[in-house]
Amino acid sequence: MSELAYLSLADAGELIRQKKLSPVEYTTALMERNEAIEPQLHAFIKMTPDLALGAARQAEADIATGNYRGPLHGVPFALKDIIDAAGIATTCHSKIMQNNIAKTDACVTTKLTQGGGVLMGKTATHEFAIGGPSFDLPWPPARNPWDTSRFTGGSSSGSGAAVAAGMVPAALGSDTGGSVRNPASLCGIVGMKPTYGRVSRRGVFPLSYTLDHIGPLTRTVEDNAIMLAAIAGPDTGDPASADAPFTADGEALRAGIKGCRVGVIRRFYQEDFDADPAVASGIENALSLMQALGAETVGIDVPPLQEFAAVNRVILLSEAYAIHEKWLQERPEDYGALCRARISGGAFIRAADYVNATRMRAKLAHAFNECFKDVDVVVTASSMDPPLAIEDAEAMEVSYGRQARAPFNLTGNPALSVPAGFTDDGLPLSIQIIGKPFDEASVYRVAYAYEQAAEWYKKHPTIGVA
Amino acid sequence: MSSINDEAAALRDFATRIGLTKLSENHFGDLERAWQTAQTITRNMPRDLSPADEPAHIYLAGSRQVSG
Repeated sequence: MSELAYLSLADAGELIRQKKLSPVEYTTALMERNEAIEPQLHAFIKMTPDLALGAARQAEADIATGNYRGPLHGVPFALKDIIDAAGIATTCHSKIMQNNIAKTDACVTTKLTQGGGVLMGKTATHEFAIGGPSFDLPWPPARNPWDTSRFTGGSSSGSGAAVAAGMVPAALGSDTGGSVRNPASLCGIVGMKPTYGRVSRRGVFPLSYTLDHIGPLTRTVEDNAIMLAAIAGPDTGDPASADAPFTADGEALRAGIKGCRVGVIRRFYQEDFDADPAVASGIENALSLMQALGAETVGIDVPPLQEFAAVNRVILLSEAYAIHEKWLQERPEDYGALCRARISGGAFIRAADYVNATRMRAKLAHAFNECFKDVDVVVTASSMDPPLAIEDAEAMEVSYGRQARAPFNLTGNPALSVPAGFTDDGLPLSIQIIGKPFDEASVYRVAYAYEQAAEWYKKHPTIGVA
Repeated sequence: MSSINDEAAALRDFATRIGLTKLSENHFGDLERAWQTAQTITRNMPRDLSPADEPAHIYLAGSRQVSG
């Protein structure tokens, strides 16, 4: 069973194409395993076994009659529960929305199901993608499959847990200040925040209109590129979406990194914050391996992380408060305490601060992108700490601001979290690789070369192993 | 002591003015923490912008249409 659970999306898709793997058998095997391990993980808000089996049967029938649709055909996936799937509740992990049945699919849901993907269910999130981990909501928070007493990272927490635990080979999350890359980092998987505009947000409940991104979480870099290719592209329903489809090019992915110039932002994890020593050494080890593969690493300087973080938070909280104001006025008791407290911060931000934050955003984005005159990609930390105890609210609050992901929500550059080893206690470590706008291909190329050499992707949590 | 009470009263007054009239006593504790967080965040904002730096919002008449 663990062979099917940890089959990569690329391998599963190829086996299905060759009719060596039945989508029905694959889906059924994952569903049975998921039911067994879900009580330990709480990765899902809702599993959709009947729909999944129906989609798997349809995929099997289509492929049998020669109507193969591509690498997602017959392959299970999951959606963060802020993403609409017609006929299924989009709860945002909140009492406010628990009876909200989606009337239509989100753009990304349509793209995945039209590609033949099999929706397995909706995954846990922080409440409205900001308030968590919380224990005062209608559903419990997701737990980390590497150690269920630990936090998954968030806010795409269930998507991270489900992919890491082999419940699905791929899931979607959203990322406004790091919410795809954080669970990817802490669950030992790959998470991409694509370029702003690369993926439509239509049908996804917003946290912050100008910072929200949708991206895939997978166990391998190649799988991530396949997922991004499936969901990328323009959409009239999202005015920020760009006319920039993305193609998963296997040859480009495997081109290697000889001669590649890798910029390194050390100030984020050595000066602006002191990263946990295991995190810092994981990054340095990854850079050494990239050098051994032929890349040249060069230190680069950018503005302090605290400047990026403050600008991100001013914009995020202002926009989130605008979205939630009416409910905060009318139903404040229906929010979890953490979500209500975090979003309420937006009530105290002055219009002048919001306007200046948007101006500063442009300036910071320009300053950061200057570095790409000299380098092909940039590497820095993702999380500053390994996964913390999920019930240690105080440590969690401190850790919330200790991350290097928010800068790239501001700048809009593509940013990928990739596994970079484990602590002595067996908890995942990560690095972050950032590219030029709309150059996800270079990010994936560097990440793939590192991943294949380091081989961290071959290690899996022992959850579900008898 | 009186300044703390004044601050709490000002916070309640502000909450009322922005329509947050259904908050419980516990919620006011959360709101006070939210206010402190917002203060910290805005204090950390970089201030080195001149009036002509980076116009924030550029309005384009007519909507940009994308295909697809």
